[in-house]
Amino acid sequence: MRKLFGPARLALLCRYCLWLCFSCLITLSNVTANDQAGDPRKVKVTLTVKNKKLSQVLDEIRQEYNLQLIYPSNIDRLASPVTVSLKEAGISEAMTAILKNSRLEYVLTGQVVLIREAVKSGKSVSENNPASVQQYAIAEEIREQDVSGKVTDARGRPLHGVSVQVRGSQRGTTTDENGFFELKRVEDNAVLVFSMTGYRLKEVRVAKLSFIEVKLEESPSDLDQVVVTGYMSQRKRSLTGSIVSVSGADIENIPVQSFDKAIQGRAAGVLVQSQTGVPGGSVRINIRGIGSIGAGTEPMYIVDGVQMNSNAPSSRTSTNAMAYINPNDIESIEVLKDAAAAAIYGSQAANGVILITTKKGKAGKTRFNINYYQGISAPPKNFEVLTSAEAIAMRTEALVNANPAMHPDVAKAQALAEYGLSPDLTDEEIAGLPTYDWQKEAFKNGSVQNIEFSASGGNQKSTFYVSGAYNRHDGNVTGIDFEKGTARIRLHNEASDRLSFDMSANLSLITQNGNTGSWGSNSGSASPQYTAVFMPPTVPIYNPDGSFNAYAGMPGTGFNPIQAATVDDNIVRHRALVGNFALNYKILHNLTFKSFYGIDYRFIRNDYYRDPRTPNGANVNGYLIDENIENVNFTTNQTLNYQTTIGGEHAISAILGAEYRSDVREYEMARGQGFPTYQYRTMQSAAEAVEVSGSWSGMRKLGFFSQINYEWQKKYFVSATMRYDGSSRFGADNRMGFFPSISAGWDISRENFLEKANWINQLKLRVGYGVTGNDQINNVSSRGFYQGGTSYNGNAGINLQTMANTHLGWEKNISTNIGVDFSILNERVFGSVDVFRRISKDLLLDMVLPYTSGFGSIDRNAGKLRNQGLELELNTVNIRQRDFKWTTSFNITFLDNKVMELYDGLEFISNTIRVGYPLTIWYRPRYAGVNSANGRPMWYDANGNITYLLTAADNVPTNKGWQSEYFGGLNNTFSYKNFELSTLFHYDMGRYMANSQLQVLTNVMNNAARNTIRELYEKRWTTPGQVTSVPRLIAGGAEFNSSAHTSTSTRYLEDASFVRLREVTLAYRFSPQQIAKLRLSAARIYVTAVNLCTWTAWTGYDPEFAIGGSVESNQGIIPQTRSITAGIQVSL
Amino acid sequence: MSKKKYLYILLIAACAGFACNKILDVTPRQSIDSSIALESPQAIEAALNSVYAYLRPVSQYGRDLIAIPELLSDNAAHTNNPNDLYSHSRNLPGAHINNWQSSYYAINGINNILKVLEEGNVPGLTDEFRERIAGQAYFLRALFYHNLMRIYAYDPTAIVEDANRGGVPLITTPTLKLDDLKYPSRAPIHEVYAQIYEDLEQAIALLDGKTIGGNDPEFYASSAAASALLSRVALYNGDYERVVTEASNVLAVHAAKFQSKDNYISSWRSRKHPESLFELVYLAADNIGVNESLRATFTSRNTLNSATFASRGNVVVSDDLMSKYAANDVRRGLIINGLGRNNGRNEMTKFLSRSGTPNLDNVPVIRVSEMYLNRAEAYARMIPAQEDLARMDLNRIRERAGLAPVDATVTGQALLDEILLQRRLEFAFEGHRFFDLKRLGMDIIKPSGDVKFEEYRILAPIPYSETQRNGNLEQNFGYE
Repeated sequence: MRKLFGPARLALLCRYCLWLCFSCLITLSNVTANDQAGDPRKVKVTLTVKNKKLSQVLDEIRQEYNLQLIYPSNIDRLASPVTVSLKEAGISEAMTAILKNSRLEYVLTGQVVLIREAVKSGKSVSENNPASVQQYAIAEEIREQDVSGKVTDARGRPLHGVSVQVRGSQRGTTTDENGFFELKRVEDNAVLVFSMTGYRLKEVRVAKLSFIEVKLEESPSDLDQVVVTGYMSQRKRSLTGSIVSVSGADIENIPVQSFDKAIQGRAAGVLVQSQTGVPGGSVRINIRGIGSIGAGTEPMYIVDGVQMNSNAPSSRTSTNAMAYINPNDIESIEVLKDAAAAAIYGSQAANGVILITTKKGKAGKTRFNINYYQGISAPPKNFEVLTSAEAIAMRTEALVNANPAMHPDVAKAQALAEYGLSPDLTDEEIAGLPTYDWQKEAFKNGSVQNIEFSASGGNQKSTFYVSGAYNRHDGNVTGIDFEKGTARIRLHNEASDRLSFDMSANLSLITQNGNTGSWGSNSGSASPQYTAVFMPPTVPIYNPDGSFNAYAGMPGTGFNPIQAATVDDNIVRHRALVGNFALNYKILHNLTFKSFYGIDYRFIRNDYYRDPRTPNGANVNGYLIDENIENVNFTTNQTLNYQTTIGGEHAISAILGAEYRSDVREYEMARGQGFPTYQYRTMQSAAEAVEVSGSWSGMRKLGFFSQINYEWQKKYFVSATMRYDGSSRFGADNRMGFFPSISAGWDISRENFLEKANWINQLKLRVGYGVTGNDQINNVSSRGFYQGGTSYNGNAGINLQTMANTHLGWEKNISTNIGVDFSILNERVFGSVDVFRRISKDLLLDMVLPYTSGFGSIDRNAGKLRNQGLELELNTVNIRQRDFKWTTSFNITFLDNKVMELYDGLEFISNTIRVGYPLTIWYRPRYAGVNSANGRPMWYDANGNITYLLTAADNVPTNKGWQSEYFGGLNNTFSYKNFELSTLFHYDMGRYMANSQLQVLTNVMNNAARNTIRELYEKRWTTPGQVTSVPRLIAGGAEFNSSAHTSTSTRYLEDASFVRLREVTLAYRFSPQQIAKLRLSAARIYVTAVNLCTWTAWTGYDPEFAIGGSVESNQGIIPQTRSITAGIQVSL
Repeated sequence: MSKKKYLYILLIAACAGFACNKILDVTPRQSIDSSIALESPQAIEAALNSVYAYLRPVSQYGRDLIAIPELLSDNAAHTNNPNDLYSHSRNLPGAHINNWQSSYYAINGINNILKVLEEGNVPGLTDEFRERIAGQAYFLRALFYHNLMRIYAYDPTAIVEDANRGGVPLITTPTLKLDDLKYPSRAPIHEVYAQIYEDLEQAIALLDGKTIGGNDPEFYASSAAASALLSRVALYNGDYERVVTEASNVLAVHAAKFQSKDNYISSWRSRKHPESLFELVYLAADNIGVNESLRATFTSRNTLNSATFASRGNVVVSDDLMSKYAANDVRRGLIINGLGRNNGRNEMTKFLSRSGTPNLDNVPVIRVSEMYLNRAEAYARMIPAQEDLARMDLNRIRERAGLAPVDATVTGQALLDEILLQRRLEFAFEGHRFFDLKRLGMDIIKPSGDVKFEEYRILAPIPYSETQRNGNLEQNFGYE
C-alpha cells in the first residue's frame, strides 16, 4: 500500500484529481463536436471585446476559428468580465490575455484547448507538455469509480436508512442496517450528500476515496431537513413562510383510517376535530382559525402533487377522501399555514394547504417490510337509565301533573298501555318487570385489524416502492364498520442524464357499513346511537326465539333501532385511484422542465336497503336506493424550475408554471320498492321503480404562477410568489384573481456578532405577507338556473333554482405573519413562535334573500372576518444519556376570531353571526331555572324579567361560541435501551357546544313510552320549595300557556373543552444481534392506546365533534371511542 | 435556442391567458341559464308543471293546509304520540301554517312564465297555447295569494283594526338576478283581493272552453275551478253577490259531480274524488311517506282494511266535532276507531292511501259541495237575505248526509249557524274550519283553552328571518 502511494505517484494522483475536478464540471452542452476542427496552434486571433462574459468571448472564438474549446460550465463565476483587444495573436497570447483576470488556466492537448481552474501553486502548464496530454487521456479513463462507505452516529453506532445522494443528480442510495452503502460508478470528484432526519447534513467529496467513513451529528431541530413547499422544496433552514411538518414516522401505526386524524395535536395552528366517531369518517381541519362564513373552511389537500377533492365522497355515512391514502405510506406531511407559504396555490389556499408526500423507493437492496396490528375498541360511557318500574312511575307522574283531575291509577293504566304492558298490572308485578338494556345492544366492543406489506429498492437509475395494506375496523355502534384495501406503487426512472420519469398510483377499495344517522347528527328513530338511551326499558329487544322484537306501532319510537341497524343496509363502497405521472427534462443543468399530470378518481356506490322485516320496510315490502357517484378530478401543471448559485454566496431558485384543473361529478340514483323477501336486495327484484334521478356538476380552474427564492450567505432569505387564477365558479365578469406574496428571513445566528455565541444554533426571524383566495362554493353559485327534477302528474317540470350574480368573485385572505425559529443549547431546545393576522374579505357570503324574491339566498362578496393569534412550538431534549433519552414537544395556539363586517350594514345574519363577536356564537334565551314553588321552568325575557312563555325576541346573543380559544398538544417520548414510550396529550379549549342530546333526554321524560337518564329523573322538581334545575314532569312537555320544557335555551349550553390522552405507544425494538438468527434486518413490537382518558365538563357521550356539513349537533352522533392495539413490524 | 424556448412559453402563456375565460365556461348538463331557459313552449309548460308541484309539499296541501286548520280549531285533538304538531293543537304562539317561502317561490315562477308569454319572443307560441298557460298561471297565482292571505292577514270580513298590518307583499313581476331584487312592503288587504279577483277573472276567461289534462281535467286549472275559487274568495271578501254568481256558474256546468248519499263514503275511497273541481294529484314519487302524509297524520292504519297499527295517527277527531255528527249522519261513516295505541280514538279516514299505495293520497282542493255551502251562506248573508234559496242549498247537503231538511222556521242566525255547522261537518279534516272561524271573527272554543278572535295567535307570524331581512315588511301584531 505504502509503496503504491509513494510521493511521485501521489503527485501524479493529485494531478489526476485535478483533471477529474475539471472534467466533471464540463457539461455536454458546451462541447462542440467538430471533426474538421481547426488547429489551435495555427490560428491568429483578432478580437476586441469590452466587459463581456468570458463564456461569450470563448464561444465567439470557438465559432470564429472553428476550435475545439472546452470550458467548465461555471466559468463565469471564476472570471471577471473580459476586456481585451487582440490583433493576430497566437493562441497562447490570446488565452493568456483573455484569462488574465481569472482563476483559470488553459491547456493545449492535441487539437483541444482546455480551460480549467488554475492549480493553486500558480504554476502554469506549458504548451506542448506531453504529460498534460497523457493526464488528459488517463483522466478520461478513470472518471468514474465505485464508492462504498459506512455512516455512523457521533458515538460510532451504525446509522441505518441514511440517504446518500450524489449532489446535483438524482442518483443515490441508503445505508443498510450496518450503516454501509455502496454506489457504483461515481464520478471521481463528485460530492456525496449524507442526510437523515434528525441529523445534520454532511457533504463529502469523493476525490480518490473509494471507502468513505462518515460520522453524522445529531440535530434534533433538523435544520437540514428538506421541506416540500409546493411545486418546489427547500431546506428547513431557508424557509421564510410558516410551514409545519409532521413526519410519517410520528403517525405510524396509529389505528386511524385517515392521516388527518393522526396529526391532531401535533402541529401548532392546525386544529383537527373529528366530526364523528365513524371509522374513516369526516375530520375537520382548520388552519389558523375559520376564515370564511359562507364558503368552505377546509384546507387544500395535495397528495404527491395531486390536488384532492376533499369533499366528503358520500353522505350515506360519514366518509373521508383522505382515507384513500394508507397513513403508513406517508413519508411526511407539510402544512402551509400563512399566505407567504400557500399563495403559490392561490385559489383555494386561503385555508392553508396540506401537502402529503408518500414514501419513495431507495436505491439498494430490496427491503421488505411487514407490519401487523390488531386490537379492540371500547364504546363510550353508557348513561345510567331508569328501570321499567321507574319509567312507569315517571310517566304516571307526568300524566297526573298534566291532568290533575286524572286519578293516579288511571294514569298508571295509561302509562302501562303506552309502554306496551297490560294496563291492569299490580304494583308488585310492575316492580318485578324486567328492564331491557338498549344501550348495551347499541354500543359494543369493536375490533381493529391492520396488515401491511411493502417492498422498496432499486438501483441508481430506477427506484420503486410498492405496498399493500388491509385495514378493518368494526365500530362501536351496531351496524358500523370500515374495511379498506390499498395498493400503492411509486416508480422513478432516469432514462438519461436529462430525462426522468416519476409515476405513482394509489388504489383503494373501501367498504363502509353505516346505519341510519351515521352520516352525521340525526334524530332518526332507526338510529341506535340516538334512540338507545331513551328506548322504553319495558320492551324486549329480542323475542324469545332470538329474532328481533319489532312490529308496527311498538311502544317508543315505533322502531327497533337495533334491528334496523342490523338488517337494513347502508353501505358505501369506494373505489378510488389517486395517481400521477411526471416527466422531468433538464434543459440546462440548472433549468428543468416538469410536466405533471395527476388524477383523483373515485367511484362511489351507495346502497340503502330498508329490510322488509322491519316495520318501516314492511310498509312497502322493502325499499332500495342505489346511488352511483363518479368523480373525476384532473390536474396538470407545466413548470420550469431554475436554480443557480452565484459566487457561492447567492442562491437563487425560481419557478414558472401554469396549471389546469377540472373536477366533474356525476350522480345517478334509482329507488325501488316491493321485494319478494328480504333476501332479494338488488334493484332487479323491486316490483316498483319509484324514482330515477341523476345529476352532473363540474368546475374548472386555470392558473399561472411564479415563485422566486433568493438566499445570501444562508443568512438572508427572500421569497416572492405570484399567482393569477381563474375559477369557473365565479360570475362571468369576475373570474380571475391575482394572489401575490412576499416573505423574508434573517438568520441572526449567522451574523458576526452572534457567531461566537455557540449556544445559539439558529435564530431566524421571518416576516411574510400575502394574499390567497377561496372558491369553495357550489359550482354554480354565480349562475341563475332553471333546473329539472320536479314533475306534476308525471310531466317533467323545470324550476327556478338560483338567482344569478354575474359579479361574484374571489374571497380573499390577506395574511401577515411574523415568526422566529430558534434552536439553542446545542439544539436541545428549539421551536418557533409565530404571530399572525389573517383578514378575510370579500367573503363569499350567503346573503339571505327575502323569500318574496322567489329565492332563499345568493352568494355575494361582502363582509370581513379577522383571525389573529399566536402559535408556539417548543421542543426540548430533556435527557440525553447513553441508554435513556427523554424528549418533549409542546405546541399551543391561541386564536382570536372576530366578525368585522357583514353586508348592507347588518349587525348580524342568522343571529349567530354577529359583528364584533366570534364566529359562531350561540343565540338563545337565558334559562332562569325552575320556580321552586311550582316546578315550572322559567326563562328571562329580552328585558331580563322572568317569563314562562318565550317569544322570538327573548333570544339574546351569548358570549359562548363554537370556536376554540386555544388548543394544542404535548408529546413526550422516553427511550430506554430498546424500549420507547411516547404519550400524546391533545387539548381543545374554550369552546361551547349545545348538548342537544340532553335536550332530547329532557323532552322524552314527558313523552309516552320513553326512558331517560337517571340523573335528570332524580333532579326533577317534585315538592314545593325544592331547588333544582329540572322542571316537574308534565305529559306533553309544556305547562299550560307556557313554552315547552325543552325550549332551546342556555340550559343546554355546555363547555365542550377537553384534554385527552390521545395516544400512548410502548414499543420495543429488537437489536440486530437479537434478530440476526431470524435473518431479519429490523423488528419492533408495539402497543398503542388511543383516547385512553378524557377530561371534560361535557355531559354528553363525547365532547369531540365538529359542527358542519351533515353534523348539526351532538344529537345521534357516533361518539369517539377508545382503542388498544398491539402489533409487530419486521423488515428483511 | 433557449431564448426561443422562453419566447414560446411566454406566447403560450399569453394565448392561454386570453383563452382563460373560454376555458372557464362550464355548461352544466342539468340546468339552463335562467335568462334563456324558457325558450320553447315545452320549457314553458315544464315551468308551469313545477308551479303545480309547489302546491304539493308538506307545508302546503301535502299536510299543513289540510291538517293545521283542524288542529288550530276545535275539530281535531292531538294524541301527543308523537309530539309532532302538538303545539298547533294547543295554539302555542307561533304554531301556525308556514308556507310563505314555497308560496313566493311559486309566485316568482308564475311571474316569470307570465312575463315570457307577454313578451311573446318565444318561437312557436300560438295564441291558444298562450291562453292555456296564462290561464293556469293566473289561477295558480290567485290560489297562492288567497292562501297566503288566509294565513298571514285578516280577511276583509273580520279585521281587528288595532292588530291589522295589511295584506301580504304583492309581487307580480319576475326576479331572476341580483339586480332585480326588491324589498316589498305589505299591500293593503283590498289590493291583494283586487289582484286575486283580476287573476281569477283572467283565468276564467282564458281557460273558457279549454280542457287541459285529458281524462283528468280536475288535476289542472280550468275555467270552472277558477270560478269555484272565486266563489270562495268572494265569500272571504264578503262579496255575496259574486259568491252566488260564481257558484251558480260552476253548478250550471258541474252540478252532476255532486255525489249521492249512497256514493258518499265510496267517493272518499276512490283515487280521484268525484266531486273535485280542482284536485292535486300525487304520484308514487310524490309520496310524503310514513311520517308526515295526511294518512299518517290522521289515521293509525295504512289502508281501510289494515288490522295493525301503521304509524302515527297523531291528529284525531275531537270529541266536540264527534258529538256534532248525528247518529244517522252518513258522514259519520268516515270516522273509524283507531288501531293499536289509537284504540279509542276517532280517526277521520278521508285520506287513507286512496291511490292504493300506502300514504299516497290526492288532495281535493275545491269540491263541488262547497259551491252549495258557499252559495247558501251568501244567500243568507245578503241584504236582503234570500233565505229560501239558502235553505235549498243547505238542504241538499243535509239530505245527502241522511239528515232531515230544515224547514222555513230556521231563519236568521239559526240558519247561518246551521250552514256553518254543515260546513264544519262536510269539510271536516279538509282544512276549512280554522279559516271559517277566522273569517267570521269567531272565537275558538277548545278544551286546551279558548282562543279569542282578537288574540294575535289567530294570524301566523311572518317568518322571522323574512322580517329581519326585509326592513319594509311589517311583522304581524304580537310577534314583533
